[in-house]
Amino acid sequence: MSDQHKFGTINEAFQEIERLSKELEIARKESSALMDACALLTTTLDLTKLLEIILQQSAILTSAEASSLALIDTKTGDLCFEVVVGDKKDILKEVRLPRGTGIVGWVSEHGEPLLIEDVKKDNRFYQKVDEKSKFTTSSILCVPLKTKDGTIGAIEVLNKLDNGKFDLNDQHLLAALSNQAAMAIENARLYNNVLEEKNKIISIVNSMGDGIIVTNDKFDVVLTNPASEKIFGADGMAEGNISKLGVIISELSQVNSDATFDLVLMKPENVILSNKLSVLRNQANEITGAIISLRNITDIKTRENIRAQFTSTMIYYMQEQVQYIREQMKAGGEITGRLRNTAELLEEKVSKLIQFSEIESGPLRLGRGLEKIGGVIDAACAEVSVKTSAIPIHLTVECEDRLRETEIEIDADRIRSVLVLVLRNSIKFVTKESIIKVKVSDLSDFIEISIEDNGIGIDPALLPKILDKQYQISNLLNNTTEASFSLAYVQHVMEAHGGSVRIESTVGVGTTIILKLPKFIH
Amino acid sequence: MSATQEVHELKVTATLRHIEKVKEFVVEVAKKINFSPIELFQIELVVDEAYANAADHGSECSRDKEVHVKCIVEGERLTIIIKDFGGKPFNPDFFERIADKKTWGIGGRGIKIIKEIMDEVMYFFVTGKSTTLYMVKQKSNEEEKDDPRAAPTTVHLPFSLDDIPPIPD
Repeated sequence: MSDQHKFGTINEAFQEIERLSKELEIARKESSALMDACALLTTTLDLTKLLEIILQQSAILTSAEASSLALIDTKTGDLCFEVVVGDKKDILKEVRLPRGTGIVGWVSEHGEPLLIEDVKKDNRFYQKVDEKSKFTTSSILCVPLKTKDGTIGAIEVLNKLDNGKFDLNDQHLLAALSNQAAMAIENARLYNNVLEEKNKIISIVNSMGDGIIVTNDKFDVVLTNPASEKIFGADGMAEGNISKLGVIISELSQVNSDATFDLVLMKPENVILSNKLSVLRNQANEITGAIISLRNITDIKTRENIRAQFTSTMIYYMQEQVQYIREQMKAGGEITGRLRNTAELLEEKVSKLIQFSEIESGPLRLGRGLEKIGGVIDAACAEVSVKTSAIPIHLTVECEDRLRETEIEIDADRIRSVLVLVLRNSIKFVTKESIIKVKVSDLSDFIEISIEDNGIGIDPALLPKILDKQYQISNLLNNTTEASFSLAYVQHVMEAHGGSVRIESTVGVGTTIILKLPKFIH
Repeated sequence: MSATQEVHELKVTATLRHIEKVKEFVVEVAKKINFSPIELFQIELVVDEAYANAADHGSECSRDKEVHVKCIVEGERLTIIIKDFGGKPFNPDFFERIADKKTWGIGGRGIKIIKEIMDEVMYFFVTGKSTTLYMVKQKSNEEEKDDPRAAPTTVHLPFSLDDIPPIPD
């Protein structure tokens, strides 16, 4: 090869290298621009801002005069121009194209890109948009927006700048951008849906009459509604666990399971609340939060209290009157048998009312004091002996002197009345000469008092129900269960003392009622 | 918990034997707030009633159960929280109203006393688990009553002296 030939070949090589270098530089810039554009797509979940970013970057990447993005309306199938970059954006945003109309419609329908160098030569071009916007479209590059579920719309760029032409390179760049853009649009839509649902839930919660408090996994409050804020007030909702709400949440955080709880805000609020804790868990059964619902039942409770208060007050006033009648009877004078019977019947009814009222009021509040158990038993036996019976009664008490003098912490009045009830029941259900044995035993931390009779005994089928308070209250009007209602009351009093009642009975032989009382000796 | 809060806790078995210990504990904390002698007496009375309720009615004086007492000092505000583990809810509003009407027998006025003396009162019941009594006392700014140079004033107690039963022999 001659030197001139060799020089021409080397020169061509250098030119080729220079050309390739320039192409490489252009490709590098385009890649960089594409990466920058894709990075911008991740900066927002606001759909409107995201669409604007997509269009701006589309026009920049492809050096286009204008760009537009149309999304398919999932309900109607129409194409809506969501965002437009360029002079005619306000006009185009009102345009809706029927399914498959125009270049953008064809691309959305087929899911394939289109590069149209001269739109006048393509009968798919929809001219009415240009007529409306007064924009002259000469060339179009349009690519679909595709997600895993299908095509959701299309991006189109119009009129290459500097009188140039869109080429395959532009198409590839725009397609690469549209792939990322479609995913970003889907994410933004999902985020919008979640926000809408969250707002709906907040609206529902805010409109509820019950107070609602939502916490996270650490039991920090994340959401409250106006009803709960009204209950606790501004100070009560303040942070720090010495506020009322702070104390409540601190206590509930130790419960770790669904629970019901009651609140009585006595001062300064005067509010009674019936409430529920619901613990939220994930699939791994870890606590993720909690919902506390608070129901104001003050009005209901106020009515109940008035009813109970009235009943209690009336009962005690009546009892005073009955006591007066008995004292008059004791003092002598002309008391007819009929008056005596009436007074005794009244006393029985009043006793039943008292028992009913105390069971209805819930756990008893005892007036405890140190009492010698012997004295209490003697008083009960004396009261029973006052009542005359058609059948002879042999009442014996078996109790060691030491035990008789033992002081225990009891509500003496109530224990005495309990013993009287049990003794009277024994007397009531005897058909022959009555033998009643009262025996007191020392069980270290407890005192046991058993009352044994030789009466008719108790039907085994009835035995489990005898001490059931709720069963007895519901059968109160049934006179055949009158005696057993009294035993339900006996249990009520014994439970309040931390004690218990046990019944052993054989039909035709007799019944033994065993009362067990804890001692609290200082 | 803010930096200005001071928390003091005491746990005892639920018996009335510890009542003096609990009262002493709370009064010592209350002294940090510089309550007046009258206010300290009132606080002691409240703790007496509240602890007795927790140990006796709440826990049936069971040695298997505890009563937790927590005192929090923040500025001039004393928060007292007494918690028992009997899990027996009751209606304090009912007992307070009955105390107004009741002319017979002793007992039942503790809740009324607590409400009269304390500035905030709340009961919190988790059925079958616990009962928590939350009380707040704010130091009164009426200092002229405590000024020994002031004229003697009448002490108003939230109950009548006639209601106190005679001491048994």
